Amino acid sequence: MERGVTAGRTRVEAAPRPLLSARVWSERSPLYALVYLLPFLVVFVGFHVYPIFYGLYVSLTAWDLLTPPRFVGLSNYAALAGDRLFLTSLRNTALFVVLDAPMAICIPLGLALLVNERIPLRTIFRSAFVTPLMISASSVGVLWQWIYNPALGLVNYYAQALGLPGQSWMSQAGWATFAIVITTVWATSGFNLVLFLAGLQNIPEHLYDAAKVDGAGAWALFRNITLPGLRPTTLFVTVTTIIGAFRVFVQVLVMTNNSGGPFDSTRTVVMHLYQTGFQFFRMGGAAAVAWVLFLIILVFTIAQFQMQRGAAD
Amino acid sequence: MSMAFPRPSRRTLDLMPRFVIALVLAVVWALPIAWMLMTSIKPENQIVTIPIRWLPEHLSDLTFQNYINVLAIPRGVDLIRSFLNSLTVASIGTLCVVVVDTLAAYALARLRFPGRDILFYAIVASLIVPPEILLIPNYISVWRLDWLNTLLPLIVPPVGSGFGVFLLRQFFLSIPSELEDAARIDGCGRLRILWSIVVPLSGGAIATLAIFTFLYYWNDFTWPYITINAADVMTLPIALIQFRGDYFSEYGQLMAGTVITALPTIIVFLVAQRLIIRSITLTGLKG
Repeated sequence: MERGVTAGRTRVEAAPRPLLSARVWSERSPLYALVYLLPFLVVFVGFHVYPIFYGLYVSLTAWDLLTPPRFVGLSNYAALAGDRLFLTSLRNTALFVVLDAPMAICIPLGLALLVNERIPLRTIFRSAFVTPLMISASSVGVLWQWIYNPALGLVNYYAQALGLPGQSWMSQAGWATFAIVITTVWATSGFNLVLFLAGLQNIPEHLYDAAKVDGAGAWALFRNITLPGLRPTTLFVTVTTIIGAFRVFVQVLVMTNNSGGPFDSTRTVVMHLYQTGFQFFRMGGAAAVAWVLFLIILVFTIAQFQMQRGAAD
Repeated sequence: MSMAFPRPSRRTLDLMPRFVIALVLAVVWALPIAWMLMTSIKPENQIVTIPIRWLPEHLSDLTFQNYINVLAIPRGVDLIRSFLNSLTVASIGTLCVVVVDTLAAYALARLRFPGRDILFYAIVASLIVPPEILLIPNYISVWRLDWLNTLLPLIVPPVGSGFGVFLLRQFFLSIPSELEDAARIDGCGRLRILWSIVVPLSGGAIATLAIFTFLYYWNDFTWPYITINAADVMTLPIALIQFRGDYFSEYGQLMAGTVITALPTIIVFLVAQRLIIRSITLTGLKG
């Protein structure tokens, strides 16, 4: 059908020879698609493709933006291996991932299981869990600084009411990391919750009915039907949560007043990148940090897909 | 008709403990936001109390004075200006993203041109690159373009993100092309088809993209924090950091500023909740 139309049109157009410009914009010109693609392509290439390669080049230079860049090969990368602050930030980030990821995966799963039941007010509960996700990280950080206030804050008040000791949360190494993790879990759980809810909806009800007839208990149902049914969701949630945890930055910046303190205990890899690039104006060093972070994330992501494949076999 | 009043069913009783747990957790989750709102409408001397109090001594003490102070007689950064900057960036940006991505996605889904597959793979590949990779080189580009401390670097780069093009292309492909073929036989041009057939059929996908894009523009922190340090072009999230310095220990006013930054997106969420939740599912699992 399409061919017939085209052929018909060719005959019609054959008589008066159109101007070149008219031809470029005609639907049959190979350049026609550019009309649609050009605005996107310019920005996509300019701010999303070119910078990948350009950043790689910058990471091989010493450059303060005042004097011309000087090619230094891999020495920015080599310097990172001996940079005490970078290694500290790497350790802190790893600790953050280890603390944050299990909570940021298991808590939303638990919440999803609760809200998935036909309990009263379930949509209102769901809203309560998802709302923090909508708030900018800087508001979240400023709000939680106030909540963690040692003398006047909500957390210490309720901790003491429960007989727990109050803390100067943000000024003690260790507690500060823990406080940032709790804030992050509070702010981000809504996303994984919604994904788990969608995953739960996809598990056919009759599987549960059949197992119940066979006398399966709640734990057996969860272990043998819910968890296997959620497998694709869980893989996606795990991968994205761990990537997000490696990239932790804004909440730390805001909650520690841009210090990464106390004693660099909350300084993360992206914070190191930020300070190297935009406080010390060492563009090459900062670009190298970004590439190291990318490689770490890539390795972890591939490893998780491999593990998933291994588990499925 | 023998029962005087209905008895709770077995199933309702089973669900009782879960309801109670969910209720407690939902309250815990809501406490920080409630505390932010309550702090912002109490006079300062009723905020700094030990032990803490949720409500002031007299309910008549509740006040909007903190909001009036930070908006009408700002001590440092002007939040009204920042609000307008955020609104400008988010609305112009969202409009650009939706139009530009719709056009590009349509070309990828329906037109034949050399390099189409390569472009599509490049877009997919760009989605796995963490944004941190782009910070330094894009900062240098923006510095060379002389865009620092303008709204341009905030609006333009996200327009080239592959996310929306990928999302819309997948959706356009799911629309049967017979409808468009029929219109073409009737002599409709491609743009006309896109506007009057494809776009109306893609309302959900386009709305998803628009809402995510708006939230992204409104909440983005790192990139504006790097490219903007002049108070008159700050968006709300970075203005709030400046603002915190101005009102460091006046918690009522500090929380009023925090509410002003956070409330617009909370309202967007409460209004478009169904759409947003469906959108997270759609993009999260398929994207």
